[in-house]
Amino acid sequence: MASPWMSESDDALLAALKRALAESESVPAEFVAVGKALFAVHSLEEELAALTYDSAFAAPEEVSASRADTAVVRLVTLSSATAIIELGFAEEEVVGQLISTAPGFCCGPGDVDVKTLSGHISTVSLDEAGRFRVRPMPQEAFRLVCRPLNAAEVPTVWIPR
Amino acid sequence: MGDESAVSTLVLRARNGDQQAWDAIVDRYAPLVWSICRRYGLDRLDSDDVGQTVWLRLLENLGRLREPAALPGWLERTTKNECLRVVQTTRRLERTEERIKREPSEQVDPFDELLEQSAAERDNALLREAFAQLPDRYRQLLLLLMADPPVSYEEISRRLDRPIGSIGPQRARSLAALRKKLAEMDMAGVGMRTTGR
Repeated sequence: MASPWMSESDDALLAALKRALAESESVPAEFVAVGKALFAVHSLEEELAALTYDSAFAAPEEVSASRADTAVVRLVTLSSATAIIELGFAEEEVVGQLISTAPGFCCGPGDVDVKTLSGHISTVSLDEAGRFRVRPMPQEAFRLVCRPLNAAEVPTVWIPR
Repeated sequence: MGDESAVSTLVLRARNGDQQAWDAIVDRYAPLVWSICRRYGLDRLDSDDVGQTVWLRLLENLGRLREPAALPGWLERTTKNECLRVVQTTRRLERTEERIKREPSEQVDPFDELLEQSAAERDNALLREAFAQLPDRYRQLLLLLMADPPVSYEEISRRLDRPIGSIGPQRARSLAALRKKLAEMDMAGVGMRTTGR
C-alpha cells in the first residue's frame, strides 16, 4: 500500500505534525505521572491470573437480568494455568472462590492478600472450599494473591473498580 | 532497527525493569490514551481510571507482547475496551438511556462518529511516534519551524548556529526523514491507517 503521507505537501505535513504535537500538550501532567508511577507498583516477574470474564463488559440486558435475582452486581473470572478465581461484587463486599483446575485438588484453607493501588494490603482467610470474602469493598483497583496452604500461590492481574 | 527510541527497544528495556524506558513509553502514548477517553466523553475521574487500567494491562502484558511494534494498535484497542466498560457501567447506562428517551431525534449512531475520529487519533499518534524517532538535529529544526508565534529563518539560523541558506534545504530533508519513518511504520503495521484524507 502506498503511504498516504507521501502525497502530502511539506506544508501540509508540517501542519499535521504541529496538530499532533499540540494534542499531546493538552494531556494533564498528572495523567502521565500516574502511568509512570505504576511501574514501581507492578512486578514484571510473576505469572498472573488474567481477567477472562467481566460482566461489566456484558450486554446490558444480561447484566440487569442477573441483578434482579441476586445482590451481586458484577461478576469477574480470573484464570491462571493452575486455578480459576470467581469474584462476585455485591453492594459492600466482594465474595470469591479459588478453584483448582487440577481435578480433586482442594484450594483451601489459606490466606488471600488484597493489595490496592495506593499500597494498602489486607489479608482475609480462605476456607476449606477456597471461599473468601473481602470487606469493605476496595475503592480502587486491586489485586489478589491467593495463598492456599497446600498449593502454589495464585497472584492476579489488577482488577479495575 | 537498532534505533534507541524505537518502540520495540523501549518495550525490551522496560521489560528488563528500566523505569526510564517505561516513562518514555507513557510519555509517548499517554496522548493517544487520553484522546480516546475524550472521544468517549469520559470525565476526568473516569479518564484517570481508564488510563490506570490501560497502563496496568500493558505492564502485565509487556513480557507477552509478541510484536512490540504493534503496541500503538494494542493500546488503542485496550483503551477503547476500557472506555466501553466504563460507559456501560450502570449509572452511565441509565443516564444515556434517559437521554435517548428525551431526544428521539438525535439517534445518530455515536460510534460511527467515533470511528472517524479514531482514524485521526491514529494519524496523530503515528506522527508523534515518527517524530520522536527522528535525529535531534531534525527535531530541533522542526520544532522551531512549528513555533507559535512563528520564528524567522534568521532567528532559527542564530539559535541553531546553522547557516541561514541551509535552513530551507534542511527543512525539506527533515520532512523527508519524517515521511520515511512514517512509511517504515506503515509497513511494520504500526500505523493501520485506514482512511485517506
